[in-house]
Amino acid sequence: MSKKALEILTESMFYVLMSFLRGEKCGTEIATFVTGRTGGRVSLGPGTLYTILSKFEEEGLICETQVEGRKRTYRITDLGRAMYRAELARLRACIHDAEKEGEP
Amino acid sequence: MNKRKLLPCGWHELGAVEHWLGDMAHEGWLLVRMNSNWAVFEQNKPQNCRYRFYPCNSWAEPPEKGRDELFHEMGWEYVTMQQHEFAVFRCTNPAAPELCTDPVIESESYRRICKKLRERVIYLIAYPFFHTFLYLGINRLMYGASGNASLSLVHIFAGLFEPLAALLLVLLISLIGAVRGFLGIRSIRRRLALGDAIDHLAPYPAIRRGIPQGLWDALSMTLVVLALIWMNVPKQPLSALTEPIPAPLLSNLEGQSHEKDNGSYVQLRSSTLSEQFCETRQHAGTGILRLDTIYIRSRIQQTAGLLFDDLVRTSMSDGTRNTISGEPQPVPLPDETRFEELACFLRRRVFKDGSGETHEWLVIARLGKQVLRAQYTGEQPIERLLDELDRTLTHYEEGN
Repeated sequence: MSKKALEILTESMFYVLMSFLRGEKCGTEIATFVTGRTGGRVSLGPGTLYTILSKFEEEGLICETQVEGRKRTYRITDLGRAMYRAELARLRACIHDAEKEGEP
Repeated sequence: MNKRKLLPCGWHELGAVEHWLGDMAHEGWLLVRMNSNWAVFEQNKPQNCRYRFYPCNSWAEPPEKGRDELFHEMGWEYVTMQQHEFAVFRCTNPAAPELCTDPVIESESYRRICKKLRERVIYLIAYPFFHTFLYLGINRLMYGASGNASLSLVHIFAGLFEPLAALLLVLLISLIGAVRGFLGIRSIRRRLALGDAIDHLAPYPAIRRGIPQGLWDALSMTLVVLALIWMNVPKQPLSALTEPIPAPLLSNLEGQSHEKDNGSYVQLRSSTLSEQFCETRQHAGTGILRLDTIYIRSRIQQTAGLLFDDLVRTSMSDGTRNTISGEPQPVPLPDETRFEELACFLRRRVFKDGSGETHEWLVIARLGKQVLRAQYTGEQPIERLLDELDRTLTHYEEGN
């Protein structure tokens, strides 16, 4: 993904960042969190999750904290939190504009 | 028990191949390994499972850190690699999530593969041009700015036409396969970027249409091997001489007019050799050609045929049955002569009316495209012969 692409996060990427807000998580915990938080609306396949985690780690949004056997744990970085907040603000602005416009 | 099967479609039609692998598992055959043309299966109990291709970011196997572990935790088992571009995973749990659930994210994972496939296409296109210009550059360095580098290139490869043609065929077939693969994967990536997920149940033909790329590759490599074998088939050796061959002697030409051209001692052929033969003779390999009982030294088999034919015609036109035996005698060119090449053959002439036979030397001298032949039975040094031939050629040139 180019730098420009990360300026706007996809829905899957946003929820992955969200999953780190309350602490470190490994891959399956992230997938479980996202599925639970969205009520099954957003499903994370392992391929999608792996791609997102790899890219976030490469961009410095998350970092690996420990490896226990086959399990890898990650935590969000300050840059990741900033990216999350920026995306949240953008989404709020979108909702605000939509609510001002009213229902179609 | 293992079974090997040809892929029903191109390897780049990922959805169709995944569908096919799933159907094979349903029949009791689980994938063991595969490449772009073949898949090897092992017998197992029939089961419903899903196969998915996942783009790789490295050549190594095992691959990137943590991938297989994460996939395993979520129900997907690593099976094998496909052509170092894709890892193949299998899932037997119908409740497990799909391997990739976000097409846009998935399209990004195809970026590296698209780049690699594009580079492969560019490489295959550039390969023959690069080597051609490399050889042209080397020849220009060797022969200087005035040298004809393109002709020099022809000189070098004149005896290698068949293997080169086969090699170019191999390159062309590889290029076609590479282009098809690149366009197929790029199309998948573009659809994913638009949010259109891969159809994992895409139809595949029951009987494979067209010749698979692997068979094209095998055919072209077979042609290369055959061409190399043909090029190195040993030629029939010359028969051994039973009598000693006297040194070439110049006929008694003193007092003979230079205008004389009755074919008895000097025959002038202004168009004996083809342009191709003359220009490539200088740089080709060596060999002895045999046409029935006529031997001739030549450096390129395919173009010396013209010299062959002419030699046969002139040899047979005087009412004798001629044979040329023995190896051509190398005659060192004196420094003063302008002839570029000289070859001497012992010729035995048997008169068809049965009146007897005679031995003489047949000398062939070449200057550019001009070829002169002379028969000698006298006693003169070779320099005298060349002097006579040179004056004959000069007379011809001035007359034209």
